[in-house]
Amino acid sequence: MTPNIAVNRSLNLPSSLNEGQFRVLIFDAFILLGEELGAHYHAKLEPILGKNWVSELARQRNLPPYNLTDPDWVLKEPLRNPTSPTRLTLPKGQGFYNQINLLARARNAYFHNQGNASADAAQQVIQLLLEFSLSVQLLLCTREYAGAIQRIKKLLLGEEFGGAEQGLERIVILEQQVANLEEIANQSKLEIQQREQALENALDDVAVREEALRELREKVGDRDQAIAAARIEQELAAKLVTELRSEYETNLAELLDKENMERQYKDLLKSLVMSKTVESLRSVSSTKKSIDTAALRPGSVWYGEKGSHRLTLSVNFRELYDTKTGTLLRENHGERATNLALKWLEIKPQGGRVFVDDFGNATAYRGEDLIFMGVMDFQL
Amino acid sequence: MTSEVLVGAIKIVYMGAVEIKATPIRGGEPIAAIQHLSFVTGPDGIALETAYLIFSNGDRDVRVIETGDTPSPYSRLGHGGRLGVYPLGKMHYCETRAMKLGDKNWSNLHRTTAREIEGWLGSNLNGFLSSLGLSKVITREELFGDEGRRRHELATSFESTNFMAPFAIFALTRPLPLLKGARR
Repeated sequence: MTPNIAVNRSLNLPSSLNEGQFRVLIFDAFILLGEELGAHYHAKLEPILGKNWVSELARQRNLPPYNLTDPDWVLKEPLRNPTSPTRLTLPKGQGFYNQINLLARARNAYFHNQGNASADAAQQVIQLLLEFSLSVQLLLCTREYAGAIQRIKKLLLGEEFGGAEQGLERIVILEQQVANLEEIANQSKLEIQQREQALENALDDVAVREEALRELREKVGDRDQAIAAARIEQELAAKLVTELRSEYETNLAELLDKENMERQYKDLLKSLVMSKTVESLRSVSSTKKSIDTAALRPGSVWYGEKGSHRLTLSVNFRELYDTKTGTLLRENHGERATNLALKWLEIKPQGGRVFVDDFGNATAYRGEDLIFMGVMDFQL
Repeated sequence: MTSEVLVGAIKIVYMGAVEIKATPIRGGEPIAAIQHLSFVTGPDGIALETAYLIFSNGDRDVRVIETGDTPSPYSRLGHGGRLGVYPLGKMHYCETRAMKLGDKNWSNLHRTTAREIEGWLGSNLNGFLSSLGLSKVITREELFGDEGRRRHELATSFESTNFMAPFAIFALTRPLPLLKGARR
């Protein structure tokens, strides 16, 4: 996937001396590094190695595809692989690699809920990121990290800023990104399954033609014209397999890339939940308003945003389960969950994904329309 | 019979049975079948709606009927890696060929060993099999005197009415090896 970085991309700056906000800032700073450094690698290496250089790199190492914008990957790839092409795009010298090593360790600590999120610690981490960005000439990162350091300094001097809800909004955006990535990955899966099926059929066809060729050879020897004709057919079938396999692999690589990114965001959200950042920010501000659903009939079109909590309405089980964890809702909510599934299957008999927002509003796709399924009568 | 089984890190929850029409592995027109359902879940986003089909013509197999958001490489089980279940006198048996990753994340069924399966399971294999009413894993030759080319394939047998046993073998030889990164 070609990384795309928005020029107006900005960091969520803390508005007060709040650990949750500093934690979001640090996470966001690493994500920004992944985005811009990934784009930097791609811009420098695509003209030399071609547009699929990242997937080729993974393929040569017999590993699943890499995610070019993963903040972990962009740091560890050059650090751990002396022959990595990414090294060609970076400054040389031990001092620089010590810097990467330090950043990789810091990323690891914060993404695994071990880092200190005081103002001083945040300032030190952002300072490291700033120095790194200056070395590689990552302009957006440099601008944003410098702004973040200024903000922390001002907060330490007692200055107050508005927009405490921004950190929470960033989390909501992340939740939405996870939901969207899941949605995209899910759509790709169907297409990939169809291609995989076509490939398997073509492989069967090659096997049948090879068998026919072998039998023919046994009967009439190598000189007969029929052998030549059968060989041509077998070669054509084999060529089709090569083409289908290539298409399938390209699609699969793209899907794995999306799934990698989805996992990265999910891990980030998990870290934020574990570090009580979400809780801390939600206590500061809760500005989101629920849509009035009193007059809305189940099955009617929903014009609000879809929720980020995803459930699967299973036609086979006639039950609901959490799409992320696979936990059946009836395990925690008993018959109420089963009854809700039955009720929703009347609205959407084909089942599928249901999106639930913070207020319990459930929506699902019917064709291209997002429809209102109802309000959940229990807390997820 | 228990309605919930743990196969290493994979959990199987029995979800009931329904009568349906479906196509057996060997193909042809859809025919009547009893479909036992189970939910096979595990780490790494594994959530597979799985069915054990007992057809009116005597054919049986275990297959995934819905992969939902289950990621690669497990989503491949959505249309591959069905487990055939075959009659053996008054009992039934199935082979224990396992899904293993090959080049480029492409997985297929390959021969395995009891030791390898035990490694994925993380506990004593025979103890696990016996707790679910399954025989030890032995070759087809040992199981029913097979003299054909497949005589060295491993298999296990169970009472024909034991519908959790095939689900357990499915989990043991399909999602579990993929989860453990088994390669051919």
